[in-house]
Amino acid sequence: MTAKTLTVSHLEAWYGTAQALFGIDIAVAEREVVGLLGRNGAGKSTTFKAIMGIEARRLGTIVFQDREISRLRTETIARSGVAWVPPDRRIFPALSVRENLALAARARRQPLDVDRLVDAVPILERLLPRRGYQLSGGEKQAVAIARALAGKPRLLLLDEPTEGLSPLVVQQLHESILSLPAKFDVSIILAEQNLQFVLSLTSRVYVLDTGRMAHEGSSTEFANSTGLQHQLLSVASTSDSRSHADH
Amino acid sequence: MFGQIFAALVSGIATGMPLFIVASGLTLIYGVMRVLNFAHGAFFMIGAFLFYNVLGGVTGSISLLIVGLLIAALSVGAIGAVSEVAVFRRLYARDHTTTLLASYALLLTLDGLVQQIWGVSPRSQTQLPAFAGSFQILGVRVATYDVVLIGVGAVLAIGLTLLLQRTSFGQTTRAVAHDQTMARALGLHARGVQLAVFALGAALAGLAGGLISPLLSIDPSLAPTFVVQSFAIVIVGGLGSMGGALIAALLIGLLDSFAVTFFPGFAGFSLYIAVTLVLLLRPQGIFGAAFASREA
Amino acid sequence: MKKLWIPITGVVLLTLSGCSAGSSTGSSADSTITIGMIAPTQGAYAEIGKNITDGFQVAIDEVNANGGVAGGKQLAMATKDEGSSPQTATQAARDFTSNGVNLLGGLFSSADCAGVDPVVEQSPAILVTASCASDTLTGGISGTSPFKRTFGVAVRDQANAQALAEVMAQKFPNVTNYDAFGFDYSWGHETWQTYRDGLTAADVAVQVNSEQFVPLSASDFHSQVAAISGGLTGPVASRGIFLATFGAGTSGFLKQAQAYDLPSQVALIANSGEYYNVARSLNGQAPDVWNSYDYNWAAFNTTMNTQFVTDYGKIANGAKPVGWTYQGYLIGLSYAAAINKAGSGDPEAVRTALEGVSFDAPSGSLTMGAASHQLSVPSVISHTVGDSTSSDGVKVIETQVVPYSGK
Ligand SMILES: Nc1ncnc2c1ncn2[C@@H]1O[C@H](COP(=O)(O)OP(=O)(O)OP(=O)(O)O)[C@@H](O)[C@H]1O
Ligand SMILES: [Mg+2]
Repeated sequence: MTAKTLTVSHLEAWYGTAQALFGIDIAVAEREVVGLLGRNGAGKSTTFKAIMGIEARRLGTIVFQDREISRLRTETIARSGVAWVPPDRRIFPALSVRENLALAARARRQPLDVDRLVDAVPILERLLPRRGYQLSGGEKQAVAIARALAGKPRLLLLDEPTEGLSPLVVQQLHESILSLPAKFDVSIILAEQNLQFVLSLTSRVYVLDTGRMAHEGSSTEFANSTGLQHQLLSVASTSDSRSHADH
Repeated sequence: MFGQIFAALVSGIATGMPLFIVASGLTLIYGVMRVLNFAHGAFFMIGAFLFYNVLGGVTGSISLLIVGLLIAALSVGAIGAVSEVAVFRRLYARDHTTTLLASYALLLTLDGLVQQIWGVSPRSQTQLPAFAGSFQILGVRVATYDVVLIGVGAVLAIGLTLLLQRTSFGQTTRAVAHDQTMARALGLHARGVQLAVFALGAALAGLAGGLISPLLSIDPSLAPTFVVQSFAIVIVGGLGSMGGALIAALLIGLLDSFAVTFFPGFAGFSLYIAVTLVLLLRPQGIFGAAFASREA
Repeated sequence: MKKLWIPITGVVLLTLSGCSAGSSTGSSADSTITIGMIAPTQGAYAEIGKNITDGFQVAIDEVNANGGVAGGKQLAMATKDEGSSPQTATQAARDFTSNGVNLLGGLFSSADCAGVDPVVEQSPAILVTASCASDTLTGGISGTSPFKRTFGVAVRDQANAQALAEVMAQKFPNVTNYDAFGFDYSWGHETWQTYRDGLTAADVAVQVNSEQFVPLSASDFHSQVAAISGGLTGPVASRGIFLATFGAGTSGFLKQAQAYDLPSQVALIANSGEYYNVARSLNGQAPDVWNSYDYNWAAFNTTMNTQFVTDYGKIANGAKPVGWTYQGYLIGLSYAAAINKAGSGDPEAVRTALEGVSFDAPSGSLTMGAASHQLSVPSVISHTVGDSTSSDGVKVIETQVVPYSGK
């Protein structure tokens, strides 16, 4: 077994009094890309937020590079090398793209290596002088990934990167993500609705169902099991009955 | 007629600039933390009292003036920092009403402290001889100190803009202002930034208190007066917009001086007229957006 | 637990700042008669309040040192904050009466008196007010006080303005060209109107160049000063500025006027309302001002005045008493005289005794109008200028006493 970058054990999370995660376990090796799947509301984003120490109250242990981080502040977790790309990208609108990147690099006391980022995310080059509010959705996604990488993290939490992107851009993103572990020496957890996208990029997948880990296994195995896919990812029976009514 | 218009113009700018100096700190704090700080007027007042205390009522030389201003700004900045840690930090996540009430409580507390320390007698800071008196341009009498205040206001406006736009502190500040969570998730020290911004905003109020004190009766009535005007400027300018605050302050100054010159009956209301009009026509204020969300 | 200390600290701080006004209640042993003084102890008018209560304290100290009242009883003072609204002032009066303190004094604002007087009217208490000199509150003009249980020691506002007009008309008959600056409430407007009418009645052909009225709470008068400066017409010897302001209004205006060299461009600055405290606060830089109010320490060459100035100086670091101090002092003297006359501190007896009581004061003998409930205090016109060599930074150039004109 290769060295573990992240080990999450018995992670529970609450929003106020509502529990959203019920003791989940995740392990990610160095330079490994794993998928995090699940229906809407299954707890994928919550898992990321719990790792980052954002919003939700959490319990359990999160060991990142041999360090227990579950009690640290968000900024300390980020500085220790975890980068988060939220589903809504959250590019700072008043800052230029270059400033967005510089900020992230400076926060982790890293020099800003724009060339290296452009190499991984080619469309970045022409976006550098633009302000955050002047970017399209796809451009924001590219910048968000570049910004996460600017601080040279060891773990990247990508939440729904393909959401709202055209097939062509998804293809570009696919190539970018594929190259990241080697180029940036980074591990990735990829939370996605786009099953094909995840299966083609990851070695293993975790599947959440209403806050519990419902499945864990190799991506190929999951790709071949339409039963599992149907059971864990298909839309709930209410919409089945509606489609029946249509006939 | 021309003379009167020109005089009103000059006096409007001279009225507006000090208002901007006071309001700049308030709008900065609002822009980053979304806190409308009632205690800002108390910060201003303490600045005036400290300035008076340091100089003993007499402004002997320009270097003493600068030392007095620095001490006023730094001390009030420190008071601001303490209030941030003791009061405001815990309330950023709460609704506006809670923060507003807390800042009002702080205003009363500081008011009380000022009265304990300095007593109830009004003080007066004499003007530096070089800045006293007036001169004439184009037949219009202009107070020398007005020119000084206009200069200081312009320098501050430019300085603050550069600080926010061109420095890494400014970038971090704008990031924290817009999206604190994301800023922290990138590893930025949001708390440190908030503390620094609060201290800076308070220091600006202290500086303003010292600067304007030679024109005022230094007494406990300063706190409420200036907080009302600053609030009006921040609302008219667009909450959190530095450029908006400058324009609003000048606009309110000009409105006031033209009203006083040509429609004295309206003079007392010009501030409220401006606020009402802006709220009706452009509820988001002239600039409408905090400096963090757009390029302004 | 961790979160608890914040509210606690807050409460402690607020308590320290808010409730510092020592209010010893009227647990009157038989040998003391307590008078409840209501005056601002906080905020913009705290200095006025302190002057009133200090003046009162000097009076009762003098009275007590001379053997007390009504056969050896001592007078004592309790204080409550007038606050900044009729509500707070009324509450203070209620608190006193519910604690058995029924001899009340003080009050600085006419608006507060308008709230308190009717309440006192319905209570067993009586009230001698300090600065409430609006015509609607006293019987100085009509001859009959609207309130049976309220008395006043301040010169009627309009009597002060009238006295100033008479003296200015006589001394500066050529100053006709006026700019007026005043507080934007009834007092400011009426005071200016009275002054103007007074000049006209004295055959001064007044021309009004500009009238600027500002909110009582304002302190930045930049625009007004600039407008007056820019609109000056006629020869300097014909120009006058009239100020219907007091406190921070007067000092803010004068400071900003000096920045425009305004005082040197007019023949006179006249002000009706308490001014000496302002002149003093200007660090010897006060411009030449003609003022009319109830008192100036240099106006009366009497032993009693010397005694008052000396005794007040002892508790005020050598400072001179001002109009407000004098009003507090007169409240003390009025009560002492009435209690002596009544033979006891019983409010009803004291009320009856106050009507028509006469006593010696720094300005000579004064009488409380039997029906008007108005003390016969003269107006004092003082001509002062800043003087950094004098102990309080003010030189009194001359004073003139204008006798009481009311009923
Ligand atoms: N801020 C919040 N406050 C309260 N409940 C929340 C909050 N965010 C998410 N939840 C709840 O937590 C559960 C998990 O939500 P989460 O966003 O983690 O799901 P997800 O798997 O990311 O879904 P999606 O695919 O729709 O993004 C859901 O029941 C959701 O309603
Ligand atoms: Mg999600």
